[in-house]
Amino acid sequence: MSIIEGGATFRCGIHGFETQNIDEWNDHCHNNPDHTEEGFTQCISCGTDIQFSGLPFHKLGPDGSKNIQLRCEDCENKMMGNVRRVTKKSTQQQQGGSLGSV
Amino acid sequence: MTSHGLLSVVVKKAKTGEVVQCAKLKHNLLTNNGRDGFHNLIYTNASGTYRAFYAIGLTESTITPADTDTTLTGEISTNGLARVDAGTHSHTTGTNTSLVEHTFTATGAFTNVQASATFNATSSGTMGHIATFATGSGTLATNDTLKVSWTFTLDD
Repeated sequence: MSIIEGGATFRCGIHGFETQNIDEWNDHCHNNPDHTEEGFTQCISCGTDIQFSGLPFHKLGPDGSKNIQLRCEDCENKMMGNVRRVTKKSTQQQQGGSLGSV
Repeated sequence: MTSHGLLSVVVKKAKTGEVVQCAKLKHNLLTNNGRDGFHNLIYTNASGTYRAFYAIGLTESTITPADTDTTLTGEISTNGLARVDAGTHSHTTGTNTSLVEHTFTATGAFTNVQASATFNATSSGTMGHIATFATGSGTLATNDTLKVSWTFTLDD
């Protein structure tokens, strides 16, 4: 259980909930889809700035950080392309292996 | 209106993987200039004189934050820990909380990072929130990281 210091209180304006307990705050926001993340972060692959909204709530971790990690559309497409290629190559190798063993 | 800043800092040593928590949701001090800047930003500005306070600065100096502070004494300007716009700055909808977070990577040696502040520019600008760590980072070497997370609350 983590209690924040200095009189700061986490408040929810939608459900009338407030607390100074991090775990309670995480649970409240996690369990209510009204609470989403909006803002900016950097692509974890190429570092370009990404603006986001409607991202599911991220809990404050035990070290006080959120670790929002996103990948930009270009990097996501490249990564998925690589996954598809690897999958296809892998399938071909399996087929080739079968043929070779006959 | 009350604005609180809560500072969390985590050091990760590149060679050993050791993790050191230097501050966890440690309460801050809002400077006089920071308060004025927030009022201008929120209520009075017609143009972009003030931008948001999501630049993060660090210092190795031993400081005692005061309302009248306008600069971060001994602010680091080299070796990967210079002031920078935070990689992540976000708000949780329907709540009074926002987050400004950045992971610094040292490109040289540091003795002991001890405090952080937020600014509305990556050079000069106005200093908003300032806080010391609960414990200093200790020595940092190249590739060690320092993750700084500022959590803010703003409400009536």
